[in-house]
Amino acid sequence: MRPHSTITSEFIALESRLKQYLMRFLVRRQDIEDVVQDTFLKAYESEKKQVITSPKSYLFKIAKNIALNELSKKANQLMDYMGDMEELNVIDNRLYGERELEVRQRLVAFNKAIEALPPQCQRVFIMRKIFGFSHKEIAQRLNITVKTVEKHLTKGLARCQAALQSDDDREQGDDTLTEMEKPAGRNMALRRGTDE
Amino acid sequence: MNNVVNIPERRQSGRSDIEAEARTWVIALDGERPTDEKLSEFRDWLSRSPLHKQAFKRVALIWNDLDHWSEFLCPEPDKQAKSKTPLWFGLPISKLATAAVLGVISAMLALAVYNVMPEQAQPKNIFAAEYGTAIGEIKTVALPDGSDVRLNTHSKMGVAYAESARIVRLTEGEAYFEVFHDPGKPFIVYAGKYAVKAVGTAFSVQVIDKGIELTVTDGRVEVAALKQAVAKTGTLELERIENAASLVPLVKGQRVIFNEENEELELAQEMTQEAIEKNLSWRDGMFIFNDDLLTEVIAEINRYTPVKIVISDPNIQDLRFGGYFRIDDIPAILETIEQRYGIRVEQISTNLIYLSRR
Repeated sequence: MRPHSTITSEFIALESRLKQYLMRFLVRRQDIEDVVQDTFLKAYESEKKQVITSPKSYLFKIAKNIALNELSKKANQLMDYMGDMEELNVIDNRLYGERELEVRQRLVAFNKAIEALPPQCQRVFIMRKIFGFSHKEIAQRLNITVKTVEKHLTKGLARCQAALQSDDDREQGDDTLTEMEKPAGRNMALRRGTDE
Repeated sequence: MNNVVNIPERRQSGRSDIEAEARTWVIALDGERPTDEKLSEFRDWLSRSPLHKQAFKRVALIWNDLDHWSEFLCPEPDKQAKSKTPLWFGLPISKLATAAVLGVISAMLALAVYNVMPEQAQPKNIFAAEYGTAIGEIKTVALPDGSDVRLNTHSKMGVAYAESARIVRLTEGEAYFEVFHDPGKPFIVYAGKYAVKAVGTAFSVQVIDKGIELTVTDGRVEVAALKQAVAKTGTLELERIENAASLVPLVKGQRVIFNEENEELELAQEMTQEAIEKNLSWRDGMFIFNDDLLTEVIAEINRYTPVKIVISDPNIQDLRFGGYFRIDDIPAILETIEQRYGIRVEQISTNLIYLSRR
């Protein structure tokens, strides 16, 4: 071991701020601890190979990257369930960085939709998506059944989707997603038509 | 279901049924690992139609994007002076005011989307630098696009050139901009809660208490009031002033004080060439006083020296004073004041001078 590691001392000084920062991306305490740990290991390894000029921003950058990776892993889980389909199971293969502005705009629409939900439904939705409680945990805390929790979540999701569509209708935007899907949808309709 | 698939309305409703099914599946698979039974049931549904798969992907993307929602509850460390604990931290769920949470997110999002492009979407800065002057110092900064900035005493500015715009943030003091004409890249100066947009023109901006003072000496600029004052530090952000409130156009020869206290802008003041020269004489390192009140003269001089000059005698405040002096020779001004009006200039301490009637 080196007699002196800048990253190590910087990390010790920044640990609690890193954790606070990570709360932006992750809600579970354990997830945050894990990412903080990974951040240190990664930074420590790269310090051996190169001089890190600005250790502070370097640590934050690594932490953010790892956290976003975790999020996309979580996101890919739904895709994994799709199993071995003919194509790659990616929803949108652009990096989060490329989509960030788009995601924020979508979130504005979602936020409005959630604000309009009935209180209990809204609470369930927030507990799941912001606080990261599992369906079971929400059911226990609110003293309702898991089925009811899922009903609320489905409703919230439907409103979000509707909000997005009305947004699109309004601006007929250059939303790549809809553009990508339009031709495919039309083909399908044609094929269905000829099948009959 | 029979042959009516071809009827458009019917297909429409079929489609929305699929969306609803897709949503149910996304929620059913959300979280804990599903049983094998459930999983094969899901795959059956998927394989029944490619439309199912598309719908599932579409809905899953919405569900996943919502994972980024919580980011807007916590401040970013670099963007805030002190990183605060997230609002919800440690709050018992029963006390959780969901409406408030949504309100906070919505406010943060509005800011994030309309005012500031995210770091990642922001084009890389081609050029970035910080400049400053000490008290009494005046200097010219030649920017790489051919624009010149004359920085007055005790000023601070950050410059960032991106692909699409030239951005300056004036956080302290005063600067005179001679902007090189480039219609493709607007030159935007952020100061206080305002943004001044120019293409190729010359103007001065001074940060004053709760506002800015702007004088246009050539061409035309537009001023927008922002929702929030620009941060004093951190990365420069390309704010979209098109979305900001009220763009006020100003032309050559006009001077305006924008004050956030009384929202309303003071009417643009038409300035004679002479008045402008007098106002901006600091660019040449000179003071021009012309029948100005002694209080105003002293206030102006005080900007350029760490020594505080105080009129300790109210009887002499209303005296009027004129002259042409070098900014770097304040003792000469004091000497003139002393001789011409018979005023006593008293050095109280190294950093304090009192003026009173002799």
